[in-house]
Amino acid sequence: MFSFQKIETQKLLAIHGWSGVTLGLLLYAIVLTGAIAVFADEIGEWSAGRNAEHHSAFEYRIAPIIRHLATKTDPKYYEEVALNTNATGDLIAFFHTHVKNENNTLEDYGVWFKVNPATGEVREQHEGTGDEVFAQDGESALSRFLVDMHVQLCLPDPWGLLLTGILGVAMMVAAVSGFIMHKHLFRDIFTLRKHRSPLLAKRDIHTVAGSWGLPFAFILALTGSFFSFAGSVGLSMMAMVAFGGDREKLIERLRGVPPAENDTPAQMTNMDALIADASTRTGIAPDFVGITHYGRADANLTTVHPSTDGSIQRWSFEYSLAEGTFLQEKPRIGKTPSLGSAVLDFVGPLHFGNFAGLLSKAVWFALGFSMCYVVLSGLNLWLTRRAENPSWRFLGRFAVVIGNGLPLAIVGSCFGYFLSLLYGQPARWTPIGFVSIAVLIVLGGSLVKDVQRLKWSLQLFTMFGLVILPLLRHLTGGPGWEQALQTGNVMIPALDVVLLMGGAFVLHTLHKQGALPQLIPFISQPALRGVK
Amino acid sequence: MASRKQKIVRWIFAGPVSFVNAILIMMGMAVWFPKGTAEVDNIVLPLLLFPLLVVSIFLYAVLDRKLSRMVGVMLALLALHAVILARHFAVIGGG
Repeated sequence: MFSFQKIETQKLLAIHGWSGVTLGLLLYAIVLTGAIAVFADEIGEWSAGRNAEHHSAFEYRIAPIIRHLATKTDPKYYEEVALNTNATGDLIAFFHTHVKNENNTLEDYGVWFKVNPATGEVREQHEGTGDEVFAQDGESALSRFLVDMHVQLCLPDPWGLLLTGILGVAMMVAAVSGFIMHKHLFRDIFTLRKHRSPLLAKRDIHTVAGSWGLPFAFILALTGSFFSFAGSVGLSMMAMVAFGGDREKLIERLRGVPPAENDTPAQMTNMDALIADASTRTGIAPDFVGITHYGRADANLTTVHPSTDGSIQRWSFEYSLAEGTFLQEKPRIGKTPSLGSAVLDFVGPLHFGNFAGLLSKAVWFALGFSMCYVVLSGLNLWLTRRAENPSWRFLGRFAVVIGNGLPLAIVGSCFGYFLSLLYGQPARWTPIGFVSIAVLIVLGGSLVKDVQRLKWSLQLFTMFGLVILPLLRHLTGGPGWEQALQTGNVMIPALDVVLLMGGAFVLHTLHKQGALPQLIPFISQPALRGVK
Repeated sequence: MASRKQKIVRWIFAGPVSFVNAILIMMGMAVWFPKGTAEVDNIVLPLLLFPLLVVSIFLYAVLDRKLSRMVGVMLALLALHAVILARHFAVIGGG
């Protein structure tokens, strides 16, 4: 593809290999959890047993609910109200102000309500920082945990974000170096020499999968590391240069200059009418509504809507809540449309794959899985070439434990979540489920001597876990398929079927490799032959 | 063949110096990049370009055949943005 001398090609190969080897397993964890997190909303609906008739809390009359909640809230938290729908279709309302934490950075602090939007019944109420109160929403615990794993590997701020940012850069380095070191890229992406040596065949499959997925890997790595770096240190650095270190001013500029302050108390107009107007403009209900300065003459309401009609752009409208008037179609950032805002409109959908509904999500999910394969197969190629060197054998075992153990530990987090629905505190038990299984996997990984047997055992347990999950979901109070379909929730049977198919696929893989007779003593070879 | 010393210099410039360079360019862009109509372009676009900057500078530092040229380019970029930022902070520091 590019003309390099032998020495540059060797350097590129070394960069490609080392970037994969040093950070490959962490990268695998990020990509796998990312592929799953593409369906975070659907997983939330599935795990919480959401009644699809409650599609969005904003399809109900929420104005009386907000008025009632305001009477229960200290007016100091009227500065901002964030409204959204959770996994069960409940309305989440967070009345909050901003306070400085011990790191001297601003943090949301206020009162959080979970309300049934149909009846107005307050199901839960908590006071604390944004992170603390949103963690109380047990029904969203599983999807939140999976997203948190992907975003910051469950590490504290800002270290998790920094690490995922560095991993994104490593993924870009591996992708770009893999791309430019090909002398014949267009020939390589169609070359599969299955009948030559096994190593060559493996290399070809890695090259073909990696090359076809390269644009996707590059886009994901770029957008992902942007989110990670910007969220951890980037914004503070830019605030230092552009606003003399005042991060609040920077956020204000990005959100659009607020209207002139007017703290005169005022009656709020009917926000339901404003939300209905915004929904008519886009043809879809908002998934987020924000209110500033509730109860004052300068109160504003902003709606944010999912993209529609194949558009990649999310829609946002701003209204005066005090006067009940439409103010403007709001750009993603800033007060007026700009290049930066236009570019950002693409960044989110390209990373989350949510620009064309379930179809784009399915494509992103499949490409994510193929990237997992590329990362693991690349690592295996590296290790196969060094199989004679004992010092690399440890990494080989480690790759088997992580590569096959991570899906099992994720299944463990689902078990933790569903079992905790019986006893309470899902937000606590979901990560405990993950960690408990991960500890058992590491113990098994250090005790089982035969690496092949270890790999097959982990896959067998994953298969059992995938098959049992739908049953466990139902036994712990989740709706059955008939009930789910009656209420219009297709996602529950759909995800159950996906899990069962996943289990069947793992079983088929084990069967094909002849692993079952070795793992399960009562399955003998003659019996298998009989089945065939 | 590159000597051991040359290799060390190259990896220092490809590693920490590349990273620092990318950070300084990103911060420097907040000063010299056009702000745009909403006055946000000079904040958002450098942030978005930062990962690309790290990768590009890293690969350049590794692949340039002439070590002295690579060191010169890297130091020039570093010095340019250090001066831009120092001047900017001197101005805003002095009101």
